[in-house]
Amino acid sequence: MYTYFPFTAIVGQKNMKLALILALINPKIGGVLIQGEKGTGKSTIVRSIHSLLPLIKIYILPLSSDVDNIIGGIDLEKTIKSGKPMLESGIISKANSGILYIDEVNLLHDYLVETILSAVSSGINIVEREGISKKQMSNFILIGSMNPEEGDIRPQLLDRFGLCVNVKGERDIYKRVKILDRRIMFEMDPKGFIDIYKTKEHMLGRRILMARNRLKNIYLKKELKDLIVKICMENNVSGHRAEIIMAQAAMAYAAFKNHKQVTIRDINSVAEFVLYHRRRKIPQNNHQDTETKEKTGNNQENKKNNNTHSRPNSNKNHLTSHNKGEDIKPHNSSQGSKYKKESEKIYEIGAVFKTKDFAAKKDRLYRKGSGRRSKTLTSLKQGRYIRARIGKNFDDIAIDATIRAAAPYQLLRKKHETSPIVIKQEDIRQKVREKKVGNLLLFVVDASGSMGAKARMIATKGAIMSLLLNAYQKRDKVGMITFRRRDATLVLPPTSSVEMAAKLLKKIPVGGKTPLSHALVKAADTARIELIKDPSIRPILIIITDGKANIPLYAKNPIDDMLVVAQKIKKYYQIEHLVIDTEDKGRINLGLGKRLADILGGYYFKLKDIKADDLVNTVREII
Amino acid sequence: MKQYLFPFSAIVGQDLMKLGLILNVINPSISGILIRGEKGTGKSTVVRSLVDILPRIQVFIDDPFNFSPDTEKEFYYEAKKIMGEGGDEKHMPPEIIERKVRIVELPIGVTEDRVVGTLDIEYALKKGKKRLEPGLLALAHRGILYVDEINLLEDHIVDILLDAAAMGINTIEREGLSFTHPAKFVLIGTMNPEEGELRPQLLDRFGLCVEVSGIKDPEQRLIIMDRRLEFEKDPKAFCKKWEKEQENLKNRIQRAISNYHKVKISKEDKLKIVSRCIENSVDGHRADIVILKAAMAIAAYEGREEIIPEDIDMACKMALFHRKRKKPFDEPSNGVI
Repeated sequence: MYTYFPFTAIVGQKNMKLALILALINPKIGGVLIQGEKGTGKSTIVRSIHSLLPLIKIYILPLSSDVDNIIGGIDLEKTIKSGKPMLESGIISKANSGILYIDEVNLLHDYLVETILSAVSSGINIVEREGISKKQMSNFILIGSMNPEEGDIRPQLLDRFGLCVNVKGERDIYKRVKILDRRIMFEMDPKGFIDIYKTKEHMLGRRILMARNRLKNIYLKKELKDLIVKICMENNVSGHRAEIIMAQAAMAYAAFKNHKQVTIRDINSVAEFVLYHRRRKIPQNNHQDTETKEKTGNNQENKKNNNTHSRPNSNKNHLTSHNKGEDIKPHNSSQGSKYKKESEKIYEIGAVFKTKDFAAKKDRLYRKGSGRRSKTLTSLKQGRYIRARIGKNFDDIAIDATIRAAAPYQLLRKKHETSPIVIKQEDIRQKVREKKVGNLLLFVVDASGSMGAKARMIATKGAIMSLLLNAYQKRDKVGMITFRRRDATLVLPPTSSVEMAAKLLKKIPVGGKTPLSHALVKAADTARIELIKDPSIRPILIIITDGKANIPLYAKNPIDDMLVVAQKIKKYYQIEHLVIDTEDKGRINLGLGKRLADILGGYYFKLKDIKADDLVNTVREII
Repeated sequence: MKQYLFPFSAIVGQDLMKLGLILNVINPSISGILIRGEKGTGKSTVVRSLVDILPRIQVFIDDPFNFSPDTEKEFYYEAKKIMGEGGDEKHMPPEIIERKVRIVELPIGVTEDRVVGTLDIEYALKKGKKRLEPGLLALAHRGILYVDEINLLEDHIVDILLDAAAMGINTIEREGLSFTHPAKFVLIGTMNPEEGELRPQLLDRFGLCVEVSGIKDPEQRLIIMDRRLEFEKDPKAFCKKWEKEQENLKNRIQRAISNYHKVKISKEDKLKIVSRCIENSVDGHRADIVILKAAMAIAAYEGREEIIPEDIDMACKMALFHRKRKKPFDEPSNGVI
């Protein structure tokens, strides 16, 4: 059968190991999410649990699963034979009292994520399908792993994972050699390698099982409960889950360390796992002086005295009443402030190609809750088959679902007919498919002399760059039109190569007049052609200009010309627009950008007012 | 009618690409190669021509899953049972045959169930029973999975590939059927970077990556043209002419496979590899392992039992190419060494 790399042979990665051990000791923690760069042994370590605790079953959820596999569905063979709907258990109930492992959890389908979530939170799997109605136990430890580079995970799901650890590759040269050594040894002689670690594995496994037994006797002092609440409040976490989980994790840690009761150190050792993915950004207008804060803090504590269990009902109070930099634990505060600094840097530099900073920013962006991909249900026979519904026509038949629907009646129907399976009109099920909408972000960039004022172009590029990064994660298509001198050029025909766009962005030459009308026509036309190729695509023109058109296409007055063109585009094309005005404030304000946006019925922003963040958010909202 | 393929050894130049492919044949756990390059540089020709020089493996005669008779026997029986052909096989040893390692091609428009495997609908309709239909991942087990234009592959198919490549297993979950089987394959991808990049996660799955470009030397270009014309005129004769070369290459690879494990690794080699990776700030540890394996494979291919510094340089060239870049929009560059 399979051979598993021994858990204890994994070099370093202390946090990841500890978080997993805690989850194994105390299932109430609610699972672990492992985030980290590729090739850091995320899935290796999860599978190595098998070597540690061979009795605990690990179920790996394939990304290609559908609802039937997950919650269970009709058992075809049995149903046909018996003439009664029979249930086939899904992974959720099979994983009961075991581990459910989802690799690349950020890539799993939203619809399926919801399903698993509700089972995790209720501990019960409810099957309501094709005449079957059943409840099953589903207590399992959810372990997920993901690489944030591939896009983030939805905040709701993030919160469901009790603990979260971030792993990085080892940078120490000797440790790396050790990793390399062990891996090669394992691959050359798995059996021999496993033998070396047998005793170690066995001992750690035993220690975990013993800690499990001890867990119910671990005592958590009242003062320490207060401390936990305080830590959570100071880190501005939402809801009460963090407190409960921190208490559970601290108890698990104490049990692992063979303490009789939880100590402050136990809490400190686990706090970061709980807070890592729950820490929220503090809203900027909430600077209150320390006095009031202390007061509310005391209030909180008093209430806690009366109310032994950690559920303060005045949570609105503490959500709004704290500041950054007040963390109890030093490593928390340092992290928090680093975070802050990075995101501020974005605005400053915003323009230059500080992609790394942009990447850091992206993380926050999703936590605000905009991490949805643009998906749409499609009626074309394209996209992924996600579920079936009762069909009206015979176009895109879901054969599997159809047979399932017909299954219970086979005994009855076969009395009259001779074919092996009798399918009637009412059994027909149709496929419901889902496809990611191709968003087309078409940048229309003013490269005329008026953009030459250096800061403008830099800021513009910064904005475009952040949008590109975002498009990259969402796998949107991008295109770019620049206009200067006499006409507009399609420098980048719509492509999914966001990299090409980034490359071109660096090289935009600036200078000359402003043929805005031509640019608008060109952009609309490009979008139109793309729409013909793929009718489900959603083109969004992002026009970055000061609006001071001076090369007309039809009329004499270039400005009027531009506005007329805009009117026509609005009238004849189904395109969404976003105008980013680069006009400086103070001097003669023509407000042409605004007028253009109004006519197009699009969104309007001033370059100066938007931070790269907002821009990305806005575009995402439109999408 | 036999279809003739352009012989691997008759391909002019493109040494790095050829070496990368051969290394993967020698040690499949190098886990694949990505070939980037413009159109018409012979990317797919080279990959397809690999067929003729591949080694042979043992398989069960009637097994679409390609399980190894040595180590995966129990999967064979399990599959048989699920396939509805089960019975008392344990008393009747299945026939084992030897055949060449296969190249399975994964077309861009492929559907999910075809990749993963699914329920045999025809069988279900006829017999009212469920039966498995293995997917491409099963067919590619212990072989090569080739994706042309891999950068154009649909996202959800890429997810499946990633899943299988990460775990070395594939799970067919359909209609209450659940079957997990080993799916270890050498992933070979070709792409034209002008049409878009690969997702970083998938990129990292490729052990090696090489970039090919058209050959500039006029004399070599002439040879390329000549050989191609000759091949097209009379494929049979052309292949016959190159038979000996092909045979030599095949034997050399076979020797390298059996000598691979004799290659000694010194502490210095490992330190050198690791510091290379740290210098280039690659993510994770996959690169270290791949470089070591590739260097061993090069040594074995050259008939040596120890690694020389040039082996490591060559391995780094192919293993760090696509891993070096840190930021999403940095172009992958060749300035590794």
